[in-house]
Amino acid sequence: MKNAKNYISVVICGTGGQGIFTLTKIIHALSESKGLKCLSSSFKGGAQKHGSVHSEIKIFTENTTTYKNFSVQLLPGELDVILAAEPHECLRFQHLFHENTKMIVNTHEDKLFVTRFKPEESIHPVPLIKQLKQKVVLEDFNLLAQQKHQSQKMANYEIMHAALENKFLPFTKKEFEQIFMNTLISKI
Amino acid sequence: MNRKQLLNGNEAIAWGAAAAGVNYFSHYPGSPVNFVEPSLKKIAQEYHLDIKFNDAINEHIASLGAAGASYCGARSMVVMKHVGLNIAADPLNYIGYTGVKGGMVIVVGTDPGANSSTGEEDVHWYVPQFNFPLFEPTSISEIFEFTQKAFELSEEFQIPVLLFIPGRICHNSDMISLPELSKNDLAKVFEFEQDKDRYINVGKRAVTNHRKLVEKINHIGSKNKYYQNYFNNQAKTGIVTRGITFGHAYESILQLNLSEKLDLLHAEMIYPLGKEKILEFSKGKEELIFIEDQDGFLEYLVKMNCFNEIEARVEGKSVFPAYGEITFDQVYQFLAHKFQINVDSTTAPIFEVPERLGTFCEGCPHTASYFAIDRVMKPIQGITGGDIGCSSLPPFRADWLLCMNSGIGISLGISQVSNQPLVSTGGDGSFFHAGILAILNAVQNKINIIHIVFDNRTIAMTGHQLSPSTSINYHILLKSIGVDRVIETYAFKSEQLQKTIEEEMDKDGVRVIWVKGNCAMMPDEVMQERRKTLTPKIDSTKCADCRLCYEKLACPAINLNESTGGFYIESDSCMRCGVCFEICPNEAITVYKNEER
Repeated sequence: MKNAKNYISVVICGTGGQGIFTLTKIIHALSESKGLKCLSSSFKGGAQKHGSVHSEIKIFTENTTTYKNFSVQLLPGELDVILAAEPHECLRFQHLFHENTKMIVNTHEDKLFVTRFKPEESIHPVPLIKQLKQKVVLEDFNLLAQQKHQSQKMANYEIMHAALENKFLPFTKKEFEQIFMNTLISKI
Repeated sequence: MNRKQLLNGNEAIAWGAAAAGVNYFSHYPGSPVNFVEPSLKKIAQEYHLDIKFNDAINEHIASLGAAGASYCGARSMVVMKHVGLNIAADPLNYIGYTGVKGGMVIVVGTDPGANSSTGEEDVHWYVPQFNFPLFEPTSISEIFEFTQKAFELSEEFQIPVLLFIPGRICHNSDMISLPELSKNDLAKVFEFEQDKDRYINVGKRAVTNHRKLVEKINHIGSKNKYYQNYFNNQAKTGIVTRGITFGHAYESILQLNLSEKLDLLHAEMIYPLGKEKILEFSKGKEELIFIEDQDGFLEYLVKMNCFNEIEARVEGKSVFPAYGEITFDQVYQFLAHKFQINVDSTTAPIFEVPERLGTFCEGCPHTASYFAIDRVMKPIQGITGGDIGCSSLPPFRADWLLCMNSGIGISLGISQVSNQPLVSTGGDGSFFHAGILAILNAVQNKINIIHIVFDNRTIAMTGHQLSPSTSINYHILLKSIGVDRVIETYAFKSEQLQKTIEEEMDKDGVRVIWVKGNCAMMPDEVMQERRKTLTPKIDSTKCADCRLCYEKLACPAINLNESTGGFYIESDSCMRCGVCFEICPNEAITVYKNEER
C-alpha cells in the first residue's frame, strides 16, 4: 500500500503537433500562480510529427520543500488524471491507471502509420476506452475546436477546459484563460 | 533582482552558461541537447551578451573550437549528444594534456533507452580516459547550478569539466529563480600565449603532461565532497545513486516508509571518485546497492578504487539491467521485494497498442525521394544504404540504420566486395558532417558508388539548424574533389529522380545525385502559395484502389476511410507538394483552386 501522496499526478499525451508541451507549460504556470510546486518530464521521439508525445506531471498540493528530489516518473496504478489529445495514446498509459483515474480523451484519431502496411495491427481505441471502468469524458475535441474556434489547433484548449469543467485539476477556468492568453501572446 | 521562469533542461544549461559569463559556444546539434544553442542565443540577444557562436559541422571541430577559445582565456562551452562524443574523443583525449585557461565545459546529452537515438551507448567509459571531472545533475536547478560550478572548477584546475545530462532530465521543467544578467566583460582581451611545453605534445613531453593530468585529477578526487546523504546514516543498507535514479530511489523510500531502514547517498560529481566520502558512507554497512542506468560506471569505480577497503557486500548490475532506462517502478518494486513489503505488482495492459514508429511529415521531400528509389531498387533487389536524421523515418525505408554517414560509409565497403545494385543515401547534414570525406575516399580509392544527398536545406531532425547547403556551391565542391558526375534533381519530381537513378546505375565512377526539396516545416514560396490557393481531392470514381499513394508513397495526408473503403486527402495537413498528383496512374487526384470548390 503506497503512502498517501502529496501530489496530483497527471499525464498529458498525444502526438507531435497537438500542443502537449504547451499544455504542460500552462499547468506549470497555473501551479506557480497558486503557489504550488510542479515537476514535469516530457517525452518525444525523433519524428517531427505523428510521433508519440507525453508529459508526466506532479502537482504538489502540500508544501513539499523537497519536491525536486522526487522521481519525474509515475508508478503504475497511481495516475490521477489523464488528458489525452489522441485515443491510441491514452491507451498507452493503461498500466498507470487506477480505478479512480479521471480521463479526458479526444476521440479524434491520428491513425497509426504502421497499420497501413500491417492492417492486422490496427485497433479501434475509442470502443476499447469505453470498456474501461474509469470515469471518462470522451469527445471529438478537434471537431469542437473547429466549431468554436475555426481551428483544430485549439483542441488542447478545449481538452483543458473539459478537465477544469469537471474539476479534475485544482485550477479554475478563469485562471486558465488568463494563463492561456499570456502563453499565446508570448508565442507571437 | 531575481525573477522566476519556467525552464527545461536545455534552457537551464543555457542560463547556467550565461550566468557563468560564457564567452564562446560551439556545438553539433543532437537530441536531447539540441535546444541549448537557440536558448543561449535568445539570452545573448535579450541581455546584449557578447558570446561567439560556432555552429560546427561536427563534434570534432566543435570541441577544438571550444579549446581554442579557452586557450585564449575565454570561458567556452561545447555541447553534443552522446554519440557525438565518439567524434569528439580524438581532440578531447589531448585537451587534458594541454589544460585550459578560460573554463571549458563539455555538455553531453545522454540517452538511456535510446528514445531519440540509434543506440544507448554508455559514454561514461570515456571519462577516465579523458581524465576530466564529471558532474551529473538530476534536476533543473542542479543543471543551472552545476553548469556554473563546472566553469569555476575548470578554471581553478585548468581542466575541462564534463556535464552528462540524460534525455529524461533534459526534458524536465521546473521554475527557477534567475539572476539579472549584466553585459559580459567586453574589455577583457583574450589572447593565445605560445607555450610549447604545454601545447606541443609528443614523446617525453606528452608523458610529462599526462602525468600532470593524472596528478590533477587525483587531487580533485581527494577534495570531492559532491555527495548528498539522505535518511538514516546508521542504516545497515546503503543505496548509492547517480543521475535520474536518485529521484526514483528517494521517492520509493518515502512511499514504502523505508527512511529508517535505508541510507541514501547521491553522487553529484561522479568522477573522480571521492573515495573518502564513499568509505565513510560504507562504514558499518552490511550492503551497498548501486542503482544507476547503463553499465554501472559508479559501481565499477568504487570496486576498483576501494578494493578490499569496503566490507559491505556490493550489488548493482547484478540486480539492475545494463540496458534501457531504469524506471521508477523497477526501483520501487526492487525495494518493496527486498524489504518484503506487499505492493501491487505491475500488471500488463489490457489492450495492446502498437508503437508509433517514425514517419515523414506531410509534404516531406524524402517521401517522394524514397518512392523513386524504391521504384528502381526493389524490382532489382537492390540495396539502399541508410543514414540517420529525418531521412531515416520511417526506419524501414533503407537497409540499415546505424550512425551518421553509415549510408555512404557502409556502401563503400559493399561496393568493393559485391556486385549487387546499390545506392547510398544521406541528408545534407550528414554530408557536411563527414560524408564529404567519404566521397573523397571513394574518389581516391576509385570506388564505384552512387550517393544520393537529400538536401532539404536544413538540419531538420534536431531543430532546423541552418545547413551549409544554403550557402555553399556543392557542385563546384564535389567536382573539385574529383566526383565523376554531379546530377541535380528536384525531390518533388519523383519520376525525374527515378529516371536519373536508372541512368546512373549503368555507369561507373563516383556519382552524386543531389536531390533538392525544402523541408515540409519550411516550405518554399511555391508550396506556400499552393497551400493557400489549391485543394487536392481524390475522385473515388477514378480511383482504382492501386494503393500506390497510400502504401508505396505512404503520404500521411492520404488516409483510408474505413466505412467507405475509399481514400481521401486530409486537406488541413496536405502540403500540396503535388507528388501524389504526379504518380497516380489513374489520374484520380484532382486539384481545385479554392474559389472553385
